[in-house]
Amino acid sequence: MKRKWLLGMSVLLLMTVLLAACGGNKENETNGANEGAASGEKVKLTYLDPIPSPERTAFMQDMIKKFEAENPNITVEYMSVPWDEANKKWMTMGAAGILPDVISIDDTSLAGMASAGYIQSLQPFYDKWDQVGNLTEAAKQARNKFKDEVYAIPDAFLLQGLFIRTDWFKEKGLPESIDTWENYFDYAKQLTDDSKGQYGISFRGGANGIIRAMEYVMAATHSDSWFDADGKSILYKPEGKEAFKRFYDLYLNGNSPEESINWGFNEMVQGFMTGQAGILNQTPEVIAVAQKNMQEGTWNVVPMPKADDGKRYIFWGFTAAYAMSSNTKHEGEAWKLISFMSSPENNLAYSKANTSIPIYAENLKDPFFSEGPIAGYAGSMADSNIVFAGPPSYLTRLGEFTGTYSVQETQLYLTGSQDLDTTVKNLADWLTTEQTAYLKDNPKS
Amino acid sequence: MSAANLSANRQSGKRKKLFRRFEPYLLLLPALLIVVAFFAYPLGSSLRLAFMHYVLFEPQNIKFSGLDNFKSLLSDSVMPKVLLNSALWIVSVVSLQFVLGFALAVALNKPFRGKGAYQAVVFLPWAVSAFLIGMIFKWMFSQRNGLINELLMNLGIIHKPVAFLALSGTSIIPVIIAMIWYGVPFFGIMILAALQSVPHEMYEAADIDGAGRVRQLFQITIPYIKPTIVLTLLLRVIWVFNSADLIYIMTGGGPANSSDNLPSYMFNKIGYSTDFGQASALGVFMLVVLTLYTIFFLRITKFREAGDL
Repeated sequence: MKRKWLLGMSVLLLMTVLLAACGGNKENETNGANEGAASGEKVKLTYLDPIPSPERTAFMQDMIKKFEAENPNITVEYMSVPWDEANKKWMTMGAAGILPDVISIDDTSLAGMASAGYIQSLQPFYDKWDQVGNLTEAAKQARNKFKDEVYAIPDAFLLQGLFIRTDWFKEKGLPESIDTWENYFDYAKQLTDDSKGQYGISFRGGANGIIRAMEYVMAATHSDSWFDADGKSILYKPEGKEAFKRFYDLYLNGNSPEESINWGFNEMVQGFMTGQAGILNQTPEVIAVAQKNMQEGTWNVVPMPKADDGKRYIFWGFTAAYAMSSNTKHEGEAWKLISFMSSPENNLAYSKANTSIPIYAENLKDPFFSEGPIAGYAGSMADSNIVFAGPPSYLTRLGEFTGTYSVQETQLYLTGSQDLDTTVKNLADWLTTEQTAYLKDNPKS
Repeated sequence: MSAANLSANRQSGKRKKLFRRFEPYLLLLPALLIVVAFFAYPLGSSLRLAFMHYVLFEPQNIKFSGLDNFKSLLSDSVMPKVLLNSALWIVSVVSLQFVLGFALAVALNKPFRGKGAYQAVVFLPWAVSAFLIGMIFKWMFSQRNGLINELLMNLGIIHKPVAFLALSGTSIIPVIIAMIWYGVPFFGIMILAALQSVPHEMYEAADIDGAGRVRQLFQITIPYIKPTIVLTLLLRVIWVFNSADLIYIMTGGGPANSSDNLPSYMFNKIGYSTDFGQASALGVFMLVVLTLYTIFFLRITKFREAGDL
């Protein structure tokens, strides 16, 4: 009897080992391929990609191959790290002084990495770059700067858009677009049908949910920042608090699923895909997921709503801008790689492959960006009435705020354990303390 | 000549003796080096970090900060709730895992048809990744299309689906249930192995002497396998104390920390703040708690004497 049991367990163990081995092999193969190409060359660059996926990795390696073909004296080693660990990885690599020559980083990490001295200013290269004139206004305004110097070239932009269930909208006799924030709250209420388990909004009560709330607070207070001119949080304003209350009332009034108090990215996307919610506020990479999981004709993406002054307070960000490590020994070659990956031709192909918004004005005219769901995003960027209103990513502790502190505070409020005044005051105090400290160190901005 | 020879002999003898004395240490050296490199050094440096201001985002501002990290840990307003959750988590998880695992082992400790296959199935949860288990249970407890809600509705206990994982104050209970299910096989395997070592004659003799089943359990079985019980409980408490994966996957600690235990709270917090000093301070705190627990537990269970009937 004991033997049989042992046999069962060892078969299981064997399967696990086999599976693990299979997984490991692939990695070895790709590594081997890279190393093989590296032998006998003059300059070897390393590049770290933080958002690997089979498709993206293949695309990036293909681009690198083209680069190597154009520059026979340079080889590039491609490395990757899963997105969820990327921030920790490049911070620890930076601290250890082993950062790859070129890395892709997101805009929330840029300030931290630059102020730590892990990445270097690209301003000298940027000033001589022949493509600067062709960039979109959005690309020039992007948060790729630290102390007014360019530290990274954006790969492409992502911005928020509203995924809507067009079939639900039709059923309720609503127009298939959301023009103003008034419409947004109104439709959320109309789409909710508790008895059917249908709700208006796929609400984000978990990590980073506060960013969505602050977008509305900025629109409602006509502010392009989380702070007023004196560095005080806009939540202190009566209309700021009112907007905060109105946004979280979506949950409290039952216009979003009860479980959504814990929802993060995956859950809110699933909530929309599985027909729990009629409106989802998300970035373009979700289009591919929706195309795979939803029936055609039941959904679309529309631009973010306008505030009552007719402007769109939105923010656009990059997730994988090309930056150069401070400890690179091959600055010239590293810039060559960065500018190659950022060329109009490569940028267009890259943006299409990732369904994101390109950095060149000319590229936006490509028909790809005027049809289907992606038009919901490109439409916002083409509109001249846009205000760049993003989170204060220059605050090094912003991640702690959006990821944990604000989550605790808002969840206390949503579960009725803490009143509105205390919640808003706590959030405003936290932000104002950080902003004051920042302004003290950086008086100009 | 002979005298010189003698002294040379004596000297080489001395050298040999000296070598003999150090030989064991020399042979132990590789093992010691490994221990130092992989355990002592990291432990030492995390002790050092616990007394430092060390935030990855502020590399210019790394300095010794005395007891600041411990102070801010203790003054954290969420801490009491999290510690209470931790206590609830350990006590309910380990005790129920133990009771169920023990029952499982006793039930499996007799021959029946298909026992091998049955055992392999019963012990399967232990081989499944915690991530998968978290996903399965999250789905089971979900408000929409969740198995548990469906069952309770069909039984007429509730009339509307309940958002179990979003209930403030009780959202840790579904996670505890998942964790119990996950850990039962561990106790089952360990206790079953121990049960198989109890000599059968003991039970025969007890039968002849007229001892009932319950008495046999408490006076023969449990004393015999006490070393295993003590050890497994000890290990399990430490593992459960340190485990955060199911919480992280099922609720993320929410809503408002009502399902956070110590490690999951700090994991979340440090993941976003990159404050390695505070993380190390918490590590030291947990190490102290666990060491005290181990000493205390081994004392009261009289582990050294365990197994002597």
